[in-house]
Amino acid sequence: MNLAKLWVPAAAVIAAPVFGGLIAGIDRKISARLQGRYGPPILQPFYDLYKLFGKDPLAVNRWQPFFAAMYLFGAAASVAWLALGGDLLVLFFLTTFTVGFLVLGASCVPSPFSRAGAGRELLQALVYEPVLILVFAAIFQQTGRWDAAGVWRQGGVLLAQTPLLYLCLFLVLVIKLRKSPFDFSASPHAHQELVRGVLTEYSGPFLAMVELGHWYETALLLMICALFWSSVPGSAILVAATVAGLIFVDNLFPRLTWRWMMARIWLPLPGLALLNLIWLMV
Amino acid sequence: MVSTMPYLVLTSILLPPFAALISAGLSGRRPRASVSIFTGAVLIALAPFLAFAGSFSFSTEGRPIPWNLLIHWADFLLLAVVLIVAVRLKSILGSVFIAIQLLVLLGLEIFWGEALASDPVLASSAVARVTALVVNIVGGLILIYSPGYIHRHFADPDTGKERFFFFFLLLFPGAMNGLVFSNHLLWLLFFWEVTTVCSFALIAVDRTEEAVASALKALWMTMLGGVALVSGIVLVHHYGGFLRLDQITAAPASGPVLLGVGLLCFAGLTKAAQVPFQGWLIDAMVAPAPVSALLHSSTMVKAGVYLILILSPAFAGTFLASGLALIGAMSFLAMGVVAVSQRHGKRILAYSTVLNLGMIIVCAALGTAAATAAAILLIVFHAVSKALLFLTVGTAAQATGSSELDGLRGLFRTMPLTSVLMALGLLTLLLPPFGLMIGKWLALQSAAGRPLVIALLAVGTAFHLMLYARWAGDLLWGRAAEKAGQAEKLPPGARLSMMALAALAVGLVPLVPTFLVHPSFFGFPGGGVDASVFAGAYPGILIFGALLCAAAGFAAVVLRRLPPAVFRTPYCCGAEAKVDGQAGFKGPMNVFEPARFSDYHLAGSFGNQKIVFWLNAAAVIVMVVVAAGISATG
Amino acid sequence: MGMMKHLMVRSRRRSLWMMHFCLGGCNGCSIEIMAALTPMYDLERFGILNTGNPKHTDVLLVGGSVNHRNRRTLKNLIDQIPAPRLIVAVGTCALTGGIFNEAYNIIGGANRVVDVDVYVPGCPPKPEAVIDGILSGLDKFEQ
Ligand code: SF4
Repeated sequence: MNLAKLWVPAAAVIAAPVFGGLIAGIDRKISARLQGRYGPPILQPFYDLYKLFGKDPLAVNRWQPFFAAMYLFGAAASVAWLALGGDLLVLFFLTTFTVGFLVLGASCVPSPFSRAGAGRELLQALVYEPVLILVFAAIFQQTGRWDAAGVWRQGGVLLAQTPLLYLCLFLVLVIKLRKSPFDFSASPHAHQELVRGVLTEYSGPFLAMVELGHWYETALLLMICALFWSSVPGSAILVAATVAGLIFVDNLFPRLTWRWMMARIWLPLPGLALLNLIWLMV
Repeated sequence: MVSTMPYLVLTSILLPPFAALISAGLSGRRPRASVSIFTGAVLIALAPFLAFAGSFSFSTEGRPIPWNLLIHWADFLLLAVVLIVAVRLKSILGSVFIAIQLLVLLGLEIFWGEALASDPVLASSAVARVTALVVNIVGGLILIYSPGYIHRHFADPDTGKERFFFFFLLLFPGAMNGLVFSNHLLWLLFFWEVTTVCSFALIAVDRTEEAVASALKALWMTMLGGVALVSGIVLVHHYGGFLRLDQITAAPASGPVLLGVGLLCFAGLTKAAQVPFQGWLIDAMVAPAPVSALLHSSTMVKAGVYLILILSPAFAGTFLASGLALIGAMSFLAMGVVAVSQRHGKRILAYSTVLNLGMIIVCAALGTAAATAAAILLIVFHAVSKALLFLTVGTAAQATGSSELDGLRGLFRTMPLTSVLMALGLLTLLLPPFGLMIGKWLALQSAAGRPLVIALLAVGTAFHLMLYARWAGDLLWGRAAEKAGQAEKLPPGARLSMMALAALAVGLVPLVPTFLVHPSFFGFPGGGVDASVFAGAYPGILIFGALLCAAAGFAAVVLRRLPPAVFRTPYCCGAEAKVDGQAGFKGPMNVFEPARFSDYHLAGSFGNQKIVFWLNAAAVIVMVVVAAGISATG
Repeated sequence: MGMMKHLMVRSRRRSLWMMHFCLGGCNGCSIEIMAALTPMYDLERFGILNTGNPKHTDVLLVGGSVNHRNRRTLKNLIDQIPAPRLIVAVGTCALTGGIFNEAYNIIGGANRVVDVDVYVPGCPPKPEAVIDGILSGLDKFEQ
């Protein structure tokens, strides 16, 4: 590993939340416009976050903020890892680290809402983790590289060979970013069925830490998307199109239940990804 | 120069049975406890020498004691005794399988007799030395843990149960050491049978109806493996002229010899409780915690995967390898699925043991250098983490009377140390930068190009996450009791061994590439795992681990300073209330309701019985196809 | 330091997550509060979001009169709102107990139990008045 290159992950760790926050702001603005409203300023997520950091800390027990910190750490570390051009399989395990601590933080409190949210988060993980591995396996199949740096350097439009996989990755994004129709573990809108699911018991600065972690996760997933068209303008177009698609899907679809997801998505999604992978091999 | 190695190995094999006999002769708790702790300490001290003192071999030629004859007759005697026990307990399958083994052994003796000597009988391969390291360190720690647990388990020390327990518990590590260092197949067979018998006896130690039934199930399944083992020996000897492991693994096998190797692997599958033989391991969880920790998670079941791993040069790239990979991957996925609907802590751990062994078998079947390294890492780290988990769950179960996950909720309030160690154990099974994750990473990397195996491993990994994350979270409900006098009381041996296991699970991680799988230490088959496998990502994982420690330490220091005033009850729509430190809410008629939550068990989607039936059927079909395939090509 | 503080005040004024709690009364005030949350008034312009969770709340809108039973609930909720927080009493009931004031079970207005920052009179007040009430309480965050 080249120490002189450490500025890249450092820059990524600083830039990723700015990017993630902006995406959230744009999302809120566009969604408001689609609903015929004026909407909040683009910088609204940053106001929210900064305000949260300034509130009094409240917690249920000491573990809860500790796990929030670990979640944030894991999310930031995954971004740094990818920016460093690290091994994609290890990246996969780093994402399990992140989601693992999110779930731990939500289930270390005797709160029905947060605990149910944690259960659903795990069900979601059951759906998207296999897809993530298959996506990485396909990237390896196509480029012969496990390290993100090598994949990026090879250039080319992976997307052309992997349309089904990209579709699966897109659905993973919908799930991970808590968009309709799969926004049931910590729904950002006032559905209030589970209050706010895994986030229910966090408040003030600890909620801000989890929120920040979520921005890192957003940035991470979009960086993975960028790998599918590894040139600067190409990946910019791809990411923009993906975000637009996300906002569109979010506003278009009604919310579904976790049962629906388990019944209809759980097997077909990895199945589709596997199909694409096998197609790559023959 | 005369090496001391043979003496060390012989000590590691003979000391435990000797200690077992002494403890059986002693009366009173304290002397027996001292023997157990002493034996444990000696085994731990021996372990590094066994692992790192270089290779060794032991021949019977020209020795005053007729070792071969002794082993042979001991085997007969052992089987005969177990046959009598099995017949008296009316276990038809068990008796039949033991009788078959006796007949085959007799046949071997009659037809080949003197030709059965072949030297060296004991030798140490790379894999054997790593396994010995694990067996002795983890086994030693469990021997140190046991007295404290067992004194509470058996209320009355004079019923003989305790004596029986310590006899077999102490006997076991010797058999295990013998097994991993055996080179001669008949020696291997003998030690294999001894571990089977120890397992049988220790499952039945409580003498309840359930315990005896579970023990008999374990007996017939592993004795079926024994039948496969002797048949395999007959085949490889008759067609290949082989009597030793080093002969078999010297070259790729084919034809009837490969079938023989397949039978040996089949024995490994039964021992490692792979589908369709997972049932005995799950039922074996009725045994006391040290038994589950020592035999059924960290060491004995590893004998199965050890055998397959060590045979892997003989079957690399054959039809048999694909079949084994499929069985392993099926076990990995299916046990994850089935475990999700379970609520019993020890049973979940048992399912997860089968699952991890499945992964190791996949690695053995893949056979590349990186896969072998992965298998070894998984053997080492799984043994450590799983032993830690069984010991902590056992300790908690003894204190709270429950090893259901629901009963373990909020354990942190009363047993902070045990619950934190348990949570740590769960996380080391799951998350980076801990050893199992490194093993899984290497395994996935080696499986590239086999999408089906990758897919099965991927889904299994997700189930693993589901199992453990919520369990670990549940443990930590609530805040530790702040009053002094309420600190948790543990026997010193228990505290020591649990802390040591936790330290190993975390502390071994930085040593992985330079020490655990480095070719110059063990000289692995396939040219060893050179550093290039690790070059890309391993330093990064280490840096991640270091940063994680720093971040966790920093967070812990900052959060320690949170004043009690910041803690609030969880949100229950304004109706929240707290009674005796338990959070909940005021329900109708002003009655307090504690907070309760039940998980998504997914029993509807993943109902146990149906899946298990189809799974077993599929596994049997795979086995039949593999056997037919080998016979057809041979 | 000055800038950080300025930014914090600005963020607090711009990001108001609210929750509303109806103690008792005719529920007319709740309906008006809900009306204020509809897209027509687009409260998200001001950074106001409905959270329904005291732990995420900056502004609590209280409607209805306090009785012996819901007093505990109100206190519990407020206990879980991290400071700094704004408490707005909406409607006559929440101000004084309103037409229910004489009932045997009624304690009175919200200020009998908690410190109210803004009072929005009316039976019920219009949505515009509710919004105005929230925004006129923002100066509390200046300190
Ligand atoms: S103030 Fe008027 S409208 Fe509001 S709750 Fe009371 S009675 Fe109903």
